[in-house]
Amino acid sequence: MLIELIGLKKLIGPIAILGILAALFLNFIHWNDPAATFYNDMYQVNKATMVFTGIILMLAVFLVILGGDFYKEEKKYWSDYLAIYLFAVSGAVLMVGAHHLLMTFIGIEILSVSLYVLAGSNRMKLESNEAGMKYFLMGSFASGILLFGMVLMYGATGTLHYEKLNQVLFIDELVSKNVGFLHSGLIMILVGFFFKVSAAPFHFWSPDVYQGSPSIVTAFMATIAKIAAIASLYLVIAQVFPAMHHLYDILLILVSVSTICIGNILAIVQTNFKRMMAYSGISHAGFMLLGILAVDFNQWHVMAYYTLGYGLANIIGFGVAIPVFRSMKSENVHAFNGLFFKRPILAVALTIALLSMASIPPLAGFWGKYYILTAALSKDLLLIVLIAIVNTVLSVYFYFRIFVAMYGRKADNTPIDVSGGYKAFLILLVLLLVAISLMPDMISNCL
Amino acid sequence: MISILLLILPLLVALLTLVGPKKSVGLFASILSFASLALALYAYWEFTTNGAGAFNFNLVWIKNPAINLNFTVDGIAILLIVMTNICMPFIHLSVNNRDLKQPRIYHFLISIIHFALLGVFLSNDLLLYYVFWELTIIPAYFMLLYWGGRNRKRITFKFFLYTVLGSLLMLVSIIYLYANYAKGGSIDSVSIFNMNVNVDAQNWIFIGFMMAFAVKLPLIPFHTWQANTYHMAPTQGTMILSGLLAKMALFSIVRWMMPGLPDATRYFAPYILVIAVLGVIYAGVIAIMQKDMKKLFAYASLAHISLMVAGLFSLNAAGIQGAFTQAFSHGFNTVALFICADIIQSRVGTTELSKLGGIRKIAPKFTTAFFIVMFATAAIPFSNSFIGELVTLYGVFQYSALWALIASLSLVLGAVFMLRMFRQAVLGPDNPNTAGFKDLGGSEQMSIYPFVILIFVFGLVYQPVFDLIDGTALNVINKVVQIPIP
Repeated sequence: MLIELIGLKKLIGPIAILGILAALFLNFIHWNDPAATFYNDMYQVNKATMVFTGIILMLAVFLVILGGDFYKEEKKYWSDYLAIYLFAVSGAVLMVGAHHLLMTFIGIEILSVSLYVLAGSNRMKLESNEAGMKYFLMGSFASGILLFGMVLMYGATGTLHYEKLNQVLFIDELVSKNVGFLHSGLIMILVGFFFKVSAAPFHFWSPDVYQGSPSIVTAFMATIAKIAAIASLYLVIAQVFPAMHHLYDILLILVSVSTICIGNILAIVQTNFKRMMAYSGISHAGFMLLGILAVDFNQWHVMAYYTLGYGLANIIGFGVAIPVFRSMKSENVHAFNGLFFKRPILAVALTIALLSMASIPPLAGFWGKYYILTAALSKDLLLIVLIAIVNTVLSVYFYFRIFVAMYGRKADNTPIDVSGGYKAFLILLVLLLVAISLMPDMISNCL
Repeated sequence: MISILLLILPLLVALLTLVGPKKSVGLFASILSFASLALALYAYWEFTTNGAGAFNFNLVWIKNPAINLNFTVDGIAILLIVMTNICMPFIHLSVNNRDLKQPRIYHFLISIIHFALLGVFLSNDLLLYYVFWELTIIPAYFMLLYWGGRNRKRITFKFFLYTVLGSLLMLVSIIYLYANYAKGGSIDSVSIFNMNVNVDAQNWIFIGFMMAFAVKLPLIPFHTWQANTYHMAPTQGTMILSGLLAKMALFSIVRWMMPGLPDATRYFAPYILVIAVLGVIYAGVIAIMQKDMKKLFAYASLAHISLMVAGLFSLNAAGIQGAFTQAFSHGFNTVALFICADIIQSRVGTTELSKLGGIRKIAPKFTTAFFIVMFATAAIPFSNSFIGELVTLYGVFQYSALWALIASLSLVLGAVFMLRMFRQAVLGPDNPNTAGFKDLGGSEQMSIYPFVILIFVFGLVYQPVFDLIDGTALNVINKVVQIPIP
């Protein structure tokens, strides 16, 4: 239902936006009678999937607007790129809404294949080719592992349907007979997902790919792709594998802690803005994994809020970075030098976005972390909370390097071209971020 | 309703300064914030005649986590609000017509800090309080980063890292309290009295809170950000940091930490008292050796604030009373001192003591004002800080005569470093560096004389200040000292 609507819109920007908006509307149309399933019970609609889908579609609208600006010099290819974007978005939507592991896999592949193409789409640039190749090789390998895990699951249980699998896994007899299959299957599925969300130790692709890809594609990966993977993993784990929590608990703890630490520590030494954002994205992925571990399924709105805040802040960050990169012909942190003098609006927008990502209250990033850490504390993960807090302080370091550049360093004379409409769009995004910051309970209020 | 008005006014000032006149925006902001001053005086009158009733305000903001826009005041809050609102117009005024980059944004940030500060004093909800607490530091950071002096990037970074680390540890404590003791509701200044936190947990929560406060105050050994930051910061930033923001931590200790964690407070009080008294001596000695006026003031402030902390943790009513009386006057004195330092810096271009001197003859008005402020800081009788320091020492004395004796060295040390500073900076033979030193101009007179008057006023009339502190202090002490200290 949603997919066709998006997939058909191969025309230019405004129509695509209208299409996504229509999908957004259709998405929420069943708000009051949720729990419907489609496609032979393989696609589900409930409030959790609706909200996650809504977040993804909303971010998609913003990305298409950004893309219109990004590709304004090569209008010729814009429609092709746009088509691939929309495919990717539909893949993300499928991942979130899947009710059958096979459907999840199809969603992941639609998203990933589109992103392989997009990452390498700047053919004239060596890094872009490298990014596409690297992402493709490693990504398809991860997909293979994921699929193999699912196969093992199927071999042991005879089903991949979320609910049926969930019930089967509670049958002790069956589980004890197939314990090897089930455990290795779950671990492989998790590994596949860890790769997609760039969790340590499967994160090595992310900085290179982020750096090499065109900035708009990086923004896409940092927001929609990551959020879809996180949401999908969260839904899978919460709906399918509660019976096996003793196994994934310890895995998720190890992975999330190492992801948070590695992301933050390595972000400190980066000089390229996109690499820095990649590592910051890794550390945020760590926090979200902590959320997957700690947040019970009836509290899913917490995860939705975190992803929403994270996605918006990232979109603003890249929204500011793209014109700066284009005008300064550099993706280094120094490209932001003296931005406040040149373009105060851009500087302030980026400031608010980064403050949110550094989880300074009362911005959305703070509330998101607050929720997740509260959930973690209620699960007696005090040590991990402390590690996460120390890492938050570290994260302040690299976000504030940007502030130092924007406010503390002298500007050079290169002007930064931004159109009025683009600035208005950024202001709108910032207002949206501030609005959701002031109402951190809005998702749970709507339920 | 008054609470809301108190909060909104600085925010309005902030917005208006953004669109205000580019020239003399300081004067503009100052005039606007006199409205806050007037309101604070009215608030004082209202509080002393009718109690806190008119201040209470409660509105649900966020349901999960339960955060209400809940405001109230107690005597200490009123005292500090009055102090803040008196200082603010003059802080705005002191930078009027200076050659400043982006003056509007400068004043905007000052007003935002003002707003957040009042939020800290007014909020009656632990998480709301935390939000305001963090909000004070963001504009301060940008002020320092953008308008600061040499090495500002490194120094502001250190400053920010320290404060954020402290705040986040406090956040862990707060989350812990909410997760285990709030029962899904919010924690306000009444419920925190009845929380009965597990005794073992209390110590850890206490450490989390105390880290935030120890950085903000600062206490040794968390003071290393302070001297450089004060030295490098634009003078208005320093005024706010030392005169106003440090008081926030004192306030929070009494408002949130002591009633919530009585057992831990009793357990840790002796250690903190000792650290604080050592801080008094340490800072005093270092201040004597400083070569730069602003750094000297920074260490002087460290010494005074350490003494206040010693007063608080002597765990008796006199200690708390003295500490807040002193905090009240310390706010004025620090702001006034830094106004003087700012005047010197803007005229001579440096605050290094060895390059100053010989100002007395050419600038008598300035010298007189500076002299009075300096004496007040050194806690000479009939100045405002004398009585506070005396009562604080009395409080410490009740706890332990030995430490009171050591702490009372602060009076001597204070006199030594202030007089030495004054001799080098103002007196002495004519000096080519200061040859063209103009006496106080119009807006400078307006910004410094009120403080001189206040110094005398509160040197003579201090009973109202005591009365304000009394109730809260007794409440908290009764909660903390259920069992007499051995």
